[in-house]
Amino acid sequence: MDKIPVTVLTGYLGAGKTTLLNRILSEPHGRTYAVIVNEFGEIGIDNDLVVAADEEIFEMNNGCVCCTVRGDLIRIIDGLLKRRRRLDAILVETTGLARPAPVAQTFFTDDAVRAKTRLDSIVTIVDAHHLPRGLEHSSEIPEQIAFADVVLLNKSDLVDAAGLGRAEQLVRAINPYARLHRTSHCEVDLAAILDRRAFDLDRILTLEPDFLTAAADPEHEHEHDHGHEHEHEHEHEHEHHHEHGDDGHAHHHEDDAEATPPAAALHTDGILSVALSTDQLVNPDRFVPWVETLLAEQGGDILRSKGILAFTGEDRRFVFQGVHMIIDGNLQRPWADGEPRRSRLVFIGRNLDAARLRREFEACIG
Amino acid sequence: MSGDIATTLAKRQGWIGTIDAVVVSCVWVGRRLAIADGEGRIGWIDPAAPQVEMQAAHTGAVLCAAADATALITGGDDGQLMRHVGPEASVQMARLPGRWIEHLLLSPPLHLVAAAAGKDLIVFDVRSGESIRQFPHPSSIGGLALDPKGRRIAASYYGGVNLWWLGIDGGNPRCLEWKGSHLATTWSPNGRFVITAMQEHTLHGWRIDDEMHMRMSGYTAKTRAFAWSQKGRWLASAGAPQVVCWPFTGSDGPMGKAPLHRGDHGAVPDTDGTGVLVTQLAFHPREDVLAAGYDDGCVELIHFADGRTLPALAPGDGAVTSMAWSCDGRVLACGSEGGRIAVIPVSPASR
Repeated sequence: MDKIPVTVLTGYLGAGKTTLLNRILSEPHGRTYAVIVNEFGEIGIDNDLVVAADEEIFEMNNGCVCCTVRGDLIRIIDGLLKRRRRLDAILVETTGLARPAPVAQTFFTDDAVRAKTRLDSIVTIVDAHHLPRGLEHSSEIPEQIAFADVVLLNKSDLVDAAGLGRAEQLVRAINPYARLHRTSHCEVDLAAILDRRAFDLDRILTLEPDFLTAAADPEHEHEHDHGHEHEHEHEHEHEHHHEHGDDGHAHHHEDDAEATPPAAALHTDGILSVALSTDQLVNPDRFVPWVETLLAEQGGDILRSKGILAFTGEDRRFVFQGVHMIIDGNLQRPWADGEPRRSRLVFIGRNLDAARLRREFEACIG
Repeated sequence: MSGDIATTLAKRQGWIGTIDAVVVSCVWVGRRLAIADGEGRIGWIDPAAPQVEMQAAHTGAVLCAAADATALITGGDDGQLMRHVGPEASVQMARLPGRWIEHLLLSPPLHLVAAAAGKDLIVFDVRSGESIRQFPHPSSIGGLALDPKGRRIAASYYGGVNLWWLGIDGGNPRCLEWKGSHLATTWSPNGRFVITAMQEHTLHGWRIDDEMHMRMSGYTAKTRAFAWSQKGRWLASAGAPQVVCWPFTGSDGPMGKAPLHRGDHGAVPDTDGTGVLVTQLAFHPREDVLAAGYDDGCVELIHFADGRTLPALAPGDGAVTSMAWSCDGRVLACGSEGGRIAVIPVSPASR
């Protein structure tokens, strides 16, 4: 049986999570979605597939940061799956003050949950109007953005073009890799937020054009949504990345590392992203221990990581993704003929020393 | 030792039926077998002439069930607590709108039902359905266990276990603390130990007198089922490829002692490298025989003393979710995630 995809919906208080959930529950899409909300009252729909959860964060193994899980989700998912009905997806709404890590980690650490469901993506709703002020007062907002696979820059109708540009810049400063959609009243094609397969190693390349140069991937163009007013904007930015990627220089990563604006100046609570790349082959015997040690030691600060590696003596691509210290990696499809064997790594987190990461990564080359 | 599939006890002398639902619970109510399923339905089976017809009771899934000699009690995700005395004979005892009733225990001597809904343990009179008292917990209840006399209840949660007197109002519970998330819970038949399964694939135990801690590890998955051997000498536990059995013969429980491993089916990994795990356990009420159910649907009978096994039910139809021996020990009932129900007569010869 296919695993049921789970979409995690985060966003600060008032950003628009309830608006989006009400839309998902009331639109005639013919799908069956179970929704786990943090409070009953706000959802105006009486439906036995809406379950209220008390956020219960469990620390396991003496409280190591990657071992916090949402105990209530484990129980609720177990209960939801006692019925035979076909669920097309499960949506989990987090509280506005929630950090996304425990929710995400629940889907990697609990064996029973993992056997039946898969984390599909983390969707973060951002209030475009309040974002600059929100970032000054909240450490949750940058973390929610950092974890996101998809960002809805909502309430875009309440801000002028300059304000919207500024908000987008703030989001990008924290997380340049998430799919960004400008919305008002959370009006977005559900296909843009559901069934993204953002944690699927097989799909990491094709789904995230902002993350990796995917010019060689024939599926790439088909992944774009059609007919949305903001698509043009997105496409544009995307091409910009292409230009960078296509220059094909081994030291391209320096551009990337510097492409993230100084976080302090932008009030991102010290969260930024570091991208590293090389066109030379990477030695797996040095790389794997390095990245494992790095995540073991700094996994508290590294919120998310992803990578695609071209190893020496290996015709297949090694792909990994991580949430804090939990890392999932695998040898994947072979490199295509003519596809440049470029390795790329991305870390999003706090206290990242880009120069040191680059130095250590380069020591894994050859 | 385990033979080929054709020789299972169920094939030779048992009855196998299917329902289009997850079997949540198989429970004996006197001489009848009651089945509760994930669609909120209840079915009754006469082991002498087995057949099953499920009838609607709850509006959602049944999440838990318990029984005494005359009635089945069920709790559901519709917030209903229901009492069933036979087909077409279900009544609502209580309803907690918007809440899930996730765990249930019945104390026959006190005529009380204890139901866990989120953080609350609510005690009802089994006959009137009246809610008598309520015991709060700091987080959601993960499991319940009764002491051997049926007067005291252990409720596990995140941070430990609370012990309450079922028949006494309020007051502070006895708290057995240990950091972490405690789930399935069991009370030793001699009344001296409480053991929980933890989220991180270990067991934790307390000697109640002095709160001496016990930690038992080595599991592949969460332990969802426990069973005590005759006189409480051994605690059999699920969550590993074989049944993990801890000795409770000394005053220190299993501390410093190695567990016994029982069961053949999961001992050798499948050809594709994935192993099966024990999910359900039931000790025979009188004899030294343990029934073990696996996550591939297989059930085997284990002669506990020497470890010999006899295949009782072939793999198939998903994990075994519930097993129960009839009170006289003559029939084993099994239910699975895929909706298979097996009623297996077990004669002394086949044991």
